[in-house]
Amino acid sequence: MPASDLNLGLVEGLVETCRKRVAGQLRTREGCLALAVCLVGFCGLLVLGTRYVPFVTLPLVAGLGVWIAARRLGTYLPTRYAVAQLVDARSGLQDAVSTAYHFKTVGIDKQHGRVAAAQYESASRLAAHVDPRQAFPGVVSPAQRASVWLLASALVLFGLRVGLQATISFEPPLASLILTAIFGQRPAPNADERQRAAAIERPDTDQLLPGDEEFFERPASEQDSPKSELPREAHEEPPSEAVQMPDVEGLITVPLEEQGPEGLLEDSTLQAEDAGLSPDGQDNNLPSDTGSDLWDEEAQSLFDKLKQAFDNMLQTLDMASTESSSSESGQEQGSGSTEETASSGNPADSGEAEQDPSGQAADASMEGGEAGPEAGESASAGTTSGEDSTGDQSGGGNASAAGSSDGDKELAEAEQLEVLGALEELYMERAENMRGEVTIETRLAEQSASVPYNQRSTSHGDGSGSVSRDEIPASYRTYIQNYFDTLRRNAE
Amino acid sequence: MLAQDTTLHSATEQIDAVRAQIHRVIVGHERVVDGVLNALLSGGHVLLEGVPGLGKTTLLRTLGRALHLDYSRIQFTPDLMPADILGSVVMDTNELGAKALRFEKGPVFAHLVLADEINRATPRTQSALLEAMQEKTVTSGTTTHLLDEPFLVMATQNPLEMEGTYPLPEAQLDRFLLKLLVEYPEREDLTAIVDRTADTTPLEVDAILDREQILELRRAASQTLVAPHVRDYAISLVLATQPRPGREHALARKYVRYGSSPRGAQALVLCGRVRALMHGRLHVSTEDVRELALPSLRHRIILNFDAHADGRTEDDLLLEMLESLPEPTMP
Repeated sequence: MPASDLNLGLVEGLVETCRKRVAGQLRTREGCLALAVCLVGFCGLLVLGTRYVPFVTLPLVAGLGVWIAARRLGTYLPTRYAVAQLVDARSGLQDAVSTAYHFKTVGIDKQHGRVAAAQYESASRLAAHVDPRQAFPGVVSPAQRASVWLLASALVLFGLRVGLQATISFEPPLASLILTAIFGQRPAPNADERQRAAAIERPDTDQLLPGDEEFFERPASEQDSPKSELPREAHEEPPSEAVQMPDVEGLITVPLEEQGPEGLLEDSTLQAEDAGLSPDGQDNNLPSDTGSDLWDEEAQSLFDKLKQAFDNMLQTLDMASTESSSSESGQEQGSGSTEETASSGNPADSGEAEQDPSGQAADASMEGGEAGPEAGESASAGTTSGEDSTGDQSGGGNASAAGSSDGDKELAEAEQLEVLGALEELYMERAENMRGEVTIETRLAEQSASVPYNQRSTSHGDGSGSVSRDEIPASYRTYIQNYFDTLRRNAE
Repeated sequence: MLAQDTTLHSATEQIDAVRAQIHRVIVGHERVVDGVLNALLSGGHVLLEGVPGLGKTTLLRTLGRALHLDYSRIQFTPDLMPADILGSVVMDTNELGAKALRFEKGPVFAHLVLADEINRATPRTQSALLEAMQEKTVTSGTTTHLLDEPFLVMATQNPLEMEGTYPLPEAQLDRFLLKLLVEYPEREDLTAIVDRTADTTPLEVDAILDREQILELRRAASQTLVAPHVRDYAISLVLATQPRPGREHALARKYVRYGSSPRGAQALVLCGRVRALMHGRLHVSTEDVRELALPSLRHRIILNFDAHADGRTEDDLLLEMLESLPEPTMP
């Protein structure tokens, strides 16, 4: 027993000793809790670096841990009386020490005083055999275990960081350090770059052309090689009247009969933009450090080929317009071939028209009469710009069947509208003159009238109108009618 | 201090001696014997419930012989009238031939009253006895007669053969300090019972305590210390049985229709004091409260239909409540 407790009674000394032990255990436990909170913050700093977790966070987290520990310590530190109860419970003293301590400290009247003194003596005898260390053995709390684990983790993280950097710097995240150590000096792409790269690697299925899906299903090693980057069509010899467009998704083969020069340019621009390329053929989405000279040269050569293809296409169109103005039969043949081509010609184009009709319609409205075949394609897609393109087609004299069919449609629509108008008039007339019986089924419940009842006073003359009502027997109607006639005559 | 120790020591010895005398006749049933002694020293009454033939009547008769107290036995039947218990006014003629009304005391005027099969009497007769139990007085006409202390009513009832009986209402059950269940004896106890039955020698029971000594033990028991945390523990237990909105125990909310009255808390503390004295302590502990929870509270709880449907008894619920009540523990 400590020397300071010698002047106390045996019971109070035991309680005081045990309370000190309990307080020490609690302080250790809560201190470990505060340390654990601080270590959590330090580990977060080591993992994320000061780029994401500034240094000022560390003292804030430490302060939070200390505050939590202090609050818990103040809450859980038991009173001496509670410690006495714990001593009783843990030593099997049947509340002898706590009762003795309570009545010793609070005082008691004379009558019970003697009993309390006797009880204190018996409790002292019991307290002499109590060992505080057995009553409150040292236990390792979860906070202590957690703090040890966190300390070990912090040391490992710190060692890893120092080992990777060869210097003490908390700025970069640990993940980037590890990636740099594994893959060299290439910095890790940030989130946006990863997203864009993923979009390039795997575009949406809707935007794929036939054969592209097979391409993307190939192994990554095959996709990376420049040749294998091209889809199956691109490896074959291009047709004589076709243009090959560079695209990271693959090359798009477009028949010249269907594309006007501007339309082709616009489409290729759109597709190139969709694929992450700028109109001049450069890839916007690729990281700047990954764009190489080889890629620029290849894009430039492809762009030159594209220009050459446009020139050829313009010449071909001039020749075709000359031929169509000289012969009507040529128009029919041309329109037939256009329709045939538009409906079943190039699967790639039809696929595009189905998959991106808005984009095609925008092309058609922009190009106007200069792109006759393009207008025919937009009309077949059933878009809003059908009338304009039809007028332009007729003015331009291009071979197309869209004009005649549109006229027929207007006539048919007009006839339908006329019939509908007649029907509507008929319905309205019937609605105004509706007659018949209406049966309303209601539930058997109390109902209130929505229109309030008004007492109306009518003259007898007004009542004659009700003579034909069913509730008046037919044999009486004549007399009633005469009665009201007499009344009316008298009134006049 | 020494005097208190001597008093405590002698009290414990006296109680042990009475217990030993009872066990010369009664085999086993330690809890029942302790409960009856506890009720006697606490100033309450005890209700014994058990099937016939378990020695309820024998126990009470033996207690009467061991205590130098007046003992009476009333067999409750449906035609028993209140006057048969309390007594009645009779016309008395003296030697000179003068006649006067005189109150003839009934069997309730005794220190130990055995009300055998109390549930077979009509509620009117039961009420007459219960009034005497609570007020410890008997009123006849305009005269009130005090019952002598110690006054202990030991009622028995049979859980079987309930047909034609009048079960005690809850308000009357609450008047009993303890309700003790008399269980079947164990194998060893049954062997001893059979052996004693074969012996034709009558079992002698010595009278250990007289009336004054019993009253002195009562006073000693009333001075036993009850620490605040023990008192709070008893109160918490009683509150746990009450299905009060917001403060009830989960079991009470589910299974209890009416919880214990404040008499339950009084019984816990009173009997706790006596139990502490019987175990040689001058203070009541939470262990005393736990041990007395069942006999003190089981007849003060009324279960609802769900409890009966689920096969739950009062003892089950009380034991679960005792387990869930917070003990002083390290946070």
